[in-house]
Amino acid sequence: MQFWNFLAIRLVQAFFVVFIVVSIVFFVSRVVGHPETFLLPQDATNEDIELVKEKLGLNDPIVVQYGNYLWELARLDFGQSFRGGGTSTISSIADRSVNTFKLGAAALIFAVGVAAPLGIIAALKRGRVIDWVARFLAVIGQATPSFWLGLMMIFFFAVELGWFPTGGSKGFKSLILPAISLGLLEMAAIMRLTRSGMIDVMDTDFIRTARAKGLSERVVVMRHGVRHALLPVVTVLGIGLGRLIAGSVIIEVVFAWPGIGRLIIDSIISSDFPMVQTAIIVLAASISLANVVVDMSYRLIDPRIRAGGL
Amino acid sequence: MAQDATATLAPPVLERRRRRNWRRYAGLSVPATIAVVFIFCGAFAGLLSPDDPNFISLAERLQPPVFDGGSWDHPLGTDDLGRDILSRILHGAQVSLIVVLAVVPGAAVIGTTIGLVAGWRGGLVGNLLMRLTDIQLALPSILFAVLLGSIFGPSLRNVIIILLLWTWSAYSRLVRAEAISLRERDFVTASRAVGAGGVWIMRKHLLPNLLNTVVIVMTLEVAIVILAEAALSFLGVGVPAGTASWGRMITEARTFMVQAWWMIWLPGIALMVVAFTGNLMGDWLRDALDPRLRNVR
Repeated sequence: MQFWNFLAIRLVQAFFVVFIVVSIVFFVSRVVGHPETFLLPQDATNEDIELVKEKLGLNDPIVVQYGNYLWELARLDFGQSFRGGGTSTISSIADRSVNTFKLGAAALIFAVGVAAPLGIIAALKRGRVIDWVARFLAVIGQATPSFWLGLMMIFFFAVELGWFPTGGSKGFKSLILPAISLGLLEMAAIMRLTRSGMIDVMDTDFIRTARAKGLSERVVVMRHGVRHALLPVVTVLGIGLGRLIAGSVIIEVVFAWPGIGRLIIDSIISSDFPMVQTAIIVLAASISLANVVVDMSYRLIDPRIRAGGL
Repeated sequence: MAQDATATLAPPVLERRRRRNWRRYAGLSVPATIAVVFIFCGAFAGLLSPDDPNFISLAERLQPPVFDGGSWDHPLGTDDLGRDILSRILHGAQVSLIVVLAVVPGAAVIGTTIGLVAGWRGGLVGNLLMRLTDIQLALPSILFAVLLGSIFGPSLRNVIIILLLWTWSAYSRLVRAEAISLRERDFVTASRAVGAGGVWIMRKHLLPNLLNTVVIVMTLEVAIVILAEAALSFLGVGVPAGTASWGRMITEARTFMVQAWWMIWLPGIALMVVAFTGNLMGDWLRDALDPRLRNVR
């Protein structure tokens, strides 16, 4: 029962957060920006401007506009794009979101897949060569700008060696370079966490007990050590997911990857504000939901955790 | 005679202590040297630069660095417009330095204040302040930055404002957690018992105990801020087009990767070295001051 209560509270909080994000985005783009100027040529007359403003409802008081916008959102009407003959923004975003999801998932698989084993081995072989390699990778990973790494990999592996396409999203091969560039920072963070978690766990009493029982080293490490060392990784996944989505914007631009991030950048360049608003709302909602899922799964995995922590 | 006794006893002890101290600080010597060089380059970019970083000379375009067959006129070569890359790197260091000096202390003050009040007060105020942190987490900072950048146009001031909004929550979450555990300690209870008010306790009892954490996060944030500024400039919503910044140099080098390797390598290396240095110093400081924080990032 407590679980469901907590889930309900977290969902209400997430809803509140998304509502605030919607409001911030609305006021920033409506009050500060002037959408009508982007729809008209430079030499538009004042009457033209007034006509467009009237049509878009921009002459209403801001509170009325805000109310209308919220009402439309409540009916799941996210508005029409300024471009492309007024297509619905949400359907364009839905089309693109598959690609962003693919990229994010691939980056996460790369990050965890490399970081977890390497971090565990580094902790078990502390001070040995593999440990130094792992720590070096972690420090380098946290210091490399992802967009620079992406460009360099395009240069070496796509242009010079021709192993991968330089951009776009055709087939599995085109996914590899962007996923590595996007996942590197997360990989470094997860590896540090796994390594230090594993070192701490291997010093605890229950590991000594497990060894004293005569369990093989493999069982001690896999069943008792790794499970505990990976717990904190789950918590950082929530924050990591947000970072991955934010990072995907820049990686999608570098690799011409047709995802939401690139759509947003393109829309901003062409001043397509309805599209920008909807895309930011969709991303904020997915990050909030992902955080709720991470919180809940953490509680399921580790019953010691109670509300009120970080 | 007594002097002799100390003379024979003291050296090994002192020697050992000296050696231990040396070892303790040895890890810091390399990053500290790089940091000093970076700050020096940034502060005196105008004096150190051989050329005007924005002086265009198409006749001298795409010259390689001196160690790759170039001339000493342009030690690190020139870009596609014939601008001197060494001068642009130095001025780029200045941009990074200004951004770090404005953003890191500013975000630390904002984040610490919010985290402190949220941790001390708890209840409704604390909850609302923590929801602020959630909002910051849910609103992808880079998107918000791009949105603001596209509305206000690229400028150094806007970059600083955007990065302040971007980074303050790193402090508030940690500070809140620490403040909550400090709140229950005896010295706080004692202070309350003699009638101290909330502001007094936060300032005199909580803040001094939190300072280590804040300083460590500040050091680790240096690299994040520098990389974020480069990312914004790369996307075209950072510093304005005329300014020499490392992120902007990388954007401009994109189309010349094949002809002029130095155009993309040099600013990239500069970024990596500085970010790397910041992280090393942060790690060192954390191990020295507070090993509990190992899992901060």
